[in-house]
Amino acid sequence: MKRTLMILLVLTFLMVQTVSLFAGGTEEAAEQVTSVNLRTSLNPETLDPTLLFSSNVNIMERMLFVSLVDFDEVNGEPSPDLATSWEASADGKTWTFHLRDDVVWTNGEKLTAKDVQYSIQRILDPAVASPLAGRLYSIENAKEFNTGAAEASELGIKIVDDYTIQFMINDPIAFFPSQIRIVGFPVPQETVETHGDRWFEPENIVSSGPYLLTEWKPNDMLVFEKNPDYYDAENVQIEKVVMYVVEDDSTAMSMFEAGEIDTVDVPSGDIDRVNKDPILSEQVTNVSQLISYMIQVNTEAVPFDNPLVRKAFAAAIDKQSLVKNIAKGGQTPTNTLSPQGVFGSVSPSAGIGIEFDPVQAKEYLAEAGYPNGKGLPEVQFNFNTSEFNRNVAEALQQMWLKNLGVDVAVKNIEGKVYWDIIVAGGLQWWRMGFAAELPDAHSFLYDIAHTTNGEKNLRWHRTDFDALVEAAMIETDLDKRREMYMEAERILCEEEAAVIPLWNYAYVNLTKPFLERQYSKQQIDSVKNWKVTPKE
Amino acid sequence: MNTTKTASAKIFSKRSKRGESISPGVDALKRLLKNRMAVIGGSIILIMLILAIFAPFIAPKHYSEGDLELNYATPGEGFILGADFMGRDLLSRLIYGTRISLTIAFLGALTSFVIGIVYGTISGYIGGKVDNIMMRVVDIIYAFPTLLLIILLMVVFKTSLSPVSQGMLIKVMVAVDNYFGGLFFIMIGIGMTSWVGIARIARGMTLSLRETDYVQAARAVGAKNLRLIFKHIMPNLLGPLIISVTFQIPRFIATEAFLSFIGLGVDPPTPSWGMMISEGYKTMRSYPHLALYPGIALALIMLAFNFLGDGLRDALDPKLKQ
Amino acid sequence: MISYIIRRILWTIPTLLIIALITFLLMHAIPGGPFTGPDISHLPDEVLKNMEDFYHLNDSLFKQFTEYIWNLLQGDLGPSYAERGKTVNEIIAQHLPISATLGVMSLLVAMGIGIPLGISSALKQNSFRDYFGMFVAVLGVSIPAMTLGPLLIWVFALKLNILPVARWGTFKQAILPVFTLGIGNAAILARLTRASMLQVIREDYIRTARAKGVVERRITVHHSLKNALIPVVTILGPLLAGLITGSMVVEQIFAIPGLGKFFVSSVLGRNYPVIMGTVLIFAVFLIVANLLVDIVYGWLDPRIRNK
Repeated sequence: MKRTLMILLVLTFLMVQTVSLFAGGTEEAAEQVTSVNLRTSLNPETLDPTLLFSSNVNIMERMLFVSLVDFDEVNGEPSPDLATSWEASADGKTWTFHLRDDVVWTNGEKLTAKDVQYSIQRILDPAVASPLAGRLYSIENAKEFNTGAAEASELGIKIVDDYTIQFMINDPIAFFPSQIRIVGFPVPQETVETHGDRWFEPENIVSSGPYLLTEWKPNDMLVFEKNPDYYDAENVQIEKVVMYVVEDDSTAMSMFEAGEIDTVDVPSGDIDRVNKDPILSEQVTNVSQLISYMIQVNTEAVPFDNPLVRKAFAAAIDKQSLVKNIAKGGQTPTNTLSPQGVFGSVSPSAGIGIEFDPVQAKEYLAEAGYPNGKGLPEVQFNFNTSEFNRNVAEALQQMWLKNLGVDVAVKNIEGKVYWDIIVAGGLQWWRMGFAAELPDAHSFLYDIAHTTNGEKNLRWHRTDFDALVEAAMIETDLDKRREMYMEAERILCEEEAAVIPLWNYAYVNLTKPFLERQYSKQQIDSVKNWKVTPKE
Repeated sequence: MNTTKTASAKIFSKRSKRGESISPGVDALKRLLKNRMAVIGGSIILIMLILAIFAPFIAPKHYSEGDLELNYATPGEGFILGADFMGRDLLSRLIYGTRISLTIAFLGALTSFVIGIVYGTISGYIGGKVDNIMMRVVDIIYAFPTLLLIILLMVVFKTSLSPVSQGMLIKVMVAVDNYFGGLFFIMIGIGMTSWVGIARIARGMTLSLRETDYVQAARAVGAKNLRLIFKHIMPNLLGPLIISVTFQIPRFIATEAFLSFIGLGVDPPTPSWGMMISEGYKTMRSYPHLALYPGIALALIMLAFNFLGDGLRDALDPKLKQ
Repeated sequence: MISYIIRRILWTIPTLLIIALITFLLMHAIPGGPFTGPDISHLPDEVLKNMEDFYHLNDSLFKQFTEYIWNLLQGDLGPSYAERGKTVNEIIAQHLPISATLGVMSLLVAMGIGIPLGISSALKQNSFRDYFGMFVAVLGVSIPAMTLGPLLIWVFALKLNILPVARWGTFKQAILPVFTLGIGNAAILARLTRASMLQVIREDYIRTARAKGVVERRITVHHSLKNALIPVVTILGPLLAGLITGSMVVEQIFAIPGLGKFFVSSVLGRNYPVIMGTVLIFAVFLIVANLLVDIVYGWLDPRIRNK
């Protein structure tokens, strides 16, 4: 009986084996095309540009679709893609975009201004409930349409001819093209209307970009192949892109080392090892990003209603040490809010903001009435749950204890409720990461600290600051704009410390030598520009 | 020694080699001590208990004391087992970590045991419709994928009981939780799900014990229900239930480790071994000692309780002759 | 026996309904919703309201629950909030088979290694074979999956380069994750089989068989094994349950597109239909598994069978 049992077990085992083999499918044999293996950490929640919200899908969006306007990483300005040129009217409230006439959809139809209008309208359609709608509120009647108070026909969009389109906006914002860059990916009307929520699946999808979506195994992988009808196809070198969905960073790292993927962001735990490795250290690139990692302060919460207390805690933080020992990504420590590389950001050499100075920190605290922390009410620092944030928080805790003598409690709050609690005014201060919508100081200074926005978090009011950022928004003289932002930063970060910037996000990337690529600061990588040296 | 006229009705009594009757407790203890594995297990637990109680005196440093500049130090001077990512001494954190694991072990066992035995005995004793309903409740909780339930509970606790919450009771609970470094809610989560196994066993045994002649007789004589339960039924449950609970303990410890691994565990800088493994997992290729040592510690304590459970089961098994 | 089975099966329906209710209430007791959180909350309120209306999230809880149950009875588990256009049915259809295959394979491995190991140890108690077997078992129980997995990847995929690092689909890719998941259970089964065999060997009626002069080998096979397997079978239920836990970790480490990781991410993302769907699927799985175990247990133990 024991023997029969054994035999049975082995048989079942083998049977299951074979079944899984067929269920899983076999790996294809290597083909003679230039291909590259990439990794994404999450299964895309959608590939529909109208609904696409997470930044890790940007790279795929750009492989599949052209957009009205592209982004030049070098000078930080919008650059031509679907639109070859654009200009604003004299009063700055009408923008005209001139489109290429040689862009075709993969079903053969030409891409015209009508597609652009349809797509923008779709984002604002309340029935579609797109999370991107708010980014287009600068367009006339956009907000009204989105809230059901106006009809689609009242939207400030006008088709001049097949390849010219105009947008009417409420205020003469100088950076409108940057605003529309994020959402300006046309979608194919007929396909969307025929297939509804499944229109972007490989069997149905009609796209316009450098690549086609040929396969999508959910949570497993996606396969893209070069689109021969793309308007710039001759400059697209890589013919096949395989995108593996791998959630665990350490596993992705191992896959890179085994040669299963060709480029990977190095998890912080492996950075030291990579830098010491003779081979790997040659393949490393440090990429800084236009995202700010900061501490925000509720300026109505005791004891942080006193600017001196805020300044004291700010001055007690050794940002260099944090970056070197905890963050390890080659981040740039910073004392001002807008990250380097964004228009209007302040160079470190200008000396604005609060430097690390433990002596000064203690003085501030004493001046505030709490010498050596005596009498200071309980302070709790919060962060949204993540291992990285926890590590940073613990390090900060250690610094405040050492440099100020204050024992700060440190507690994580789950991401989903984090913002609600902040808005409800329940926290004293907290960690926040902020990515710019546009590479412009406006996105940081106005969106975070202007009174209308600050009501929900900083609860901080300075009329001179508000006036500065409001004026800068419509100022056309670039130098004057820069000066205004510099002064605004000084008030916000140095004089008031309502916000304590820590660093600009950066990451460490490893790429195989045969892959030549660029690194976007805004997480909008363009695979079409990458090149692979074919293996012999 | 003990005479047969005893107030507590141990159904199975033993006789020593010389024919005297000895208490089952002593007999069991003797057998336990003969079991090598159980002794090893028990000793490990005892050592950890000592470490836990005297941690501040034994550990070289405090568990939260660290120097960022010395992070990831290799085992050697200054740090006997090396330092973690914050420059904290690994050995010290391991030693303090015994407190966490043992608290979970004992408090979890206690909760599970107490709730289980009370619930099960009452259900089995009363019987009938009440028993039916009570057992249906148990069935439902039993069918609920335990881990998923714990995760849901943990998220409820950790999110709704946040700095801004109202209500005195909630404020007190949050304060207690903070004091224990985030352990309190984990205990509640584990406690709320693990008592069912115990309850089932308790109920089953109560049912059969209720029908024995001894209990029937005592009832006939007019013994009150409560007295019956406490003096006649429960003592017989102790053995098997203690064994069951001992076997549950490794699962509690593993659950805490898992919760910490996915971020629903203790708060920093509490040094739970599970948390340390989770922290060390990311750097396992670069600094394996950070995950290795807590892993070994975890393994040891789980093993110890497993061996102890084995030994207890052998020792208390009435069918085994001396 | 038959009536017992039928009664058990009938009980599953109210059980599942109550589990659904508890899950629903717990889910909604968690503050925040699918459209809250630092990235989303910056959006204008009107946009957020649109998104919530789309999924009926602004209806009363009672209405939401009854709607859910109504759909459930028709076999519709609802949409996924995170992936527009995807239904929970699809998610389960796509990912459950993978988790199930992983689970079953690892259980088979656990049984295939653990039971023979336990038997061999019991037969030659306290010998070298015994100690060696138990030492391996001890190791298996000790090292948690989150440590063992990366260790195996390092040895076999990186250093020796004979197995792939991660993902699922081919036989080679299955080896490491199945082994990682199965080794812990193998150890448990080994120890349990050994202990239970030892006990049975001592039993009186085995002694009787010996006294009768039955050939030693047949004793082992026929008498001891069947009865020794009884406790082993009863543990299969909890083991299967444990596989759900283990699979979450293993699926993450080996990038396996199974159902396990969906649960944690959907709780954190407040993806209510996915939460409900995964809980119910796992509950059904557990109930069925426990029922099967009880049936086999009844069949193996003649005392119960003849009741």
